[in-house]
Amino acid sequence: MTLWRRRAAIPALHHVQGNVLRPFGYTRGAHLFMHVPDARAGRAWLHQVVGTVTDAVDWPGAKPVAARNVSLTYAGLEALGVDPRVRAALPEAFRAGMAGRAAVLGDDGPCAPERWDAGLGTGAAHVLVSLFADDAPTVEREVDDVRSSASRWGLDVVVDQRTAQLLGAREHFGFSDGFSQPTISGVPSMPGADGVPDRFGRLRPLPLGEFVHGYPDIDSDDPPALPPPFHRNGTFQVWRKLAQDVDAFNAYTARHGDVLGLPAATVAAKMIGRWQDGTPLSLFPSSPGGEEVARDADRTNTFCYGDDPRGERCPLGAHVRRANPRDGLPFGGVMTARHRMIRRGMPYTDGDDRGLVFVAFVADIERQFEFVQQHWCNDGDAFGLGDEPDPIVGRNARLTSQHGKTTLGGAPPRFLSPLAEFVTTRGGEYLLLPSIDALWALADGRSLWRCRSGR
Amino acid sequence: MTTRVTLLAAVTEQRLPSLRGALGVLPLGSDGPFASVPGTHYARWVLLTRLGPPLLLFSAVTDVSARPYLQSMVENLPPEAQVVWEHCDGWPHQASVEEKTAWLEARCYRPHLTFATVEATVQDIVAGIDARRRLGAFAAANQGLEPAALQKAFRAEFGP
Ligand code: HEM
Repeated sequence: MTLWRRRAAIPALHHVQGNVLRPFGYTRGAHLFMHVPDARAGRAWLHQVVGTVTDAVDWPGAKPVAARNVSLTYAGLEALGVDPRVRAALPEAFRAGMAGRAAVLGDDGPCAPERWDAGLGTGAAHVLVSLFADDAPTVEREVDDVRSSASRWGLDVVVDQRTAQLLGAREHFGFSDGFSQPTISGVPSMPGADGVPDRFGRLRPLPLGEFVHGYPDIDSDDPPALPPPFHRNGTFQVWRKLAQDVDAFNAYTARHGDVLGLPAATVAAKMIGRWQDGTPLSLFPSSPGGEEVARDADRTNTFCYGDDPRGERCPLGAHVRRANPRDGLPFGGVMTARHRMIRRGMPYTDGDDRGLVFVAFVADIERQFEFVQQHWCNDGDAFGLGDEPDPIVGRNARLTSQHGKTTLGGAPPRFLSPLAEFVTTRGGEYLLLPSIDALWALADGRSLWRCRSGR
Repeated sequence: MTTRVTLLAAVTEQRLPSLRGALGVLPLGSDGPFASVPGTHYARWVLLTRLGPPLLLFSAVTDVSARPYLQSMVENLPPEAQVVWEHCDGWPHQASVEEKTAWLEARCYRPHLTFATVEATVQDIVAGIDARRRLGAFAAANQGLEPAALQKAFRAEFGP
């Protein structure tokens, strides 16, 4: 395994869009999906907007009041008139779109694309502008600005989804979220970022190409490239709106806590694999690690599962253990290394409708995001759990089937059964978040084979 | 106990789009066409287009040896899946089941390294999964019982 021998590549930060390699760190967001009426209008609009997209270069002083990303769906590339040969060379999952991959993702029943929010999964969403700021008036101002440039060129806003951090960066079930992220070689790491365990249990950084196109990845110094102009400095963005039934979750953990003789908070922690304060069950199996540890991102995220093979401290089927099993699968971290993702989600609250806008950046949608959702969250086989699903984001049909259960570990083991639907997919899209120069190429209509060759 | 079947058939370039279409509409999983071919652990078609002239690779792990399996496939595959074979060069359209089976067999290769660790029949495996499910459901439904009560409940469910 040459995982650790890859050449450390230095990303071209002025070409990569911001928020990918390091989080912007704002507390509010707005996601505007727009429909492009025709290629000319779309390119003219893009021309006006590309200059406002935030790159990944360090902010020298205080951070700007707002920041922006622009990404495109496959239908969006088509609408912008991208050469069919370029489009045909893009990966199948991206071309099919999230709705087209419903069977892979387990989006059926109440999660089926036919039931998604208007504007998502229908081919109507072409471009996504994601705006971030720290206060509501700034977000409004930014949204107005994007809306007015869109209307000038005849683009329709088909989805306008706002997001806002909850107090203490919690998600709606009350858990601290978003801090466990992969360390990437060549990128100054965030506190607490974890790598991939080698066979000695040491955490090693992941090569840049796992997340940004055109750089060495785990498998190769020269992985297969996307067609120009998307061959370098871009990434794929998974955008998924997940509604959370907080009342059902709280009632469930309280009721099952009574049955099992455990506090509701412990049941909830066993489902997630961390306590609400973010401290991991692996290090603190019986009660939360406490505020001081929770604040120390390195302490909350430097742990492995190899010394807990039966899930006695952290259940084998807990959400975080499934989503990143670290060294919990055979051969140390080798089995998990190629399935990592950078997560940049934020909660949304639309009256009673609450949930998470899950956002992930990956070099390969199928190998990273879809693999985790399909094999690790919708099924339990990899962990010796048969077809047990993830109790939070597992396929709902499996959660509620008569066999739906989660094994909490311990001797004798305890179970949560039956499970319930706590999270429902409300819609989503797969997007390409191109490099900034690729955005210019698109705006200029230069998305042709000949516009650039190789590296 | 299990057999690995590996077969390569040539496909002309012009038929590729139509073959892709035929493969693309086949349902997956338990609705897939091979669910109607008894003794299939897994079976799949893969189009190899980057290695030279296009080839259709068929590989399967089966309970029976290659010939009876291929014959059963010819007899049992639903029409929308039979169409896949009809795209191959030289497929004997009007021929008998035996001739079609012989045509397929003539294109089989003995693979040197296949990854198939199952040494049980499809039926054994299905029964095993079912037993596991029942045991899991039993464990969840009876958790917390005292040993004697648990043993009694176990016997009631699974017999002495
Ligand atoms: C509403 C739905 C979801 C909720 C409430 C949720 C909640 C959480 C929480 C509380 C954590 C621990 C905090 C952290 O490690 O940053 C976490 C981690 C994580 N989640 Fe989720 N999550 C959701 C959906 C998803 C989905 C759909 C995926 C991917 C298929 C996913 C993948 C991950 C990953 C990879 C981690 C990091 C695990 C680690 O590195 O240890 N999550 N999630």
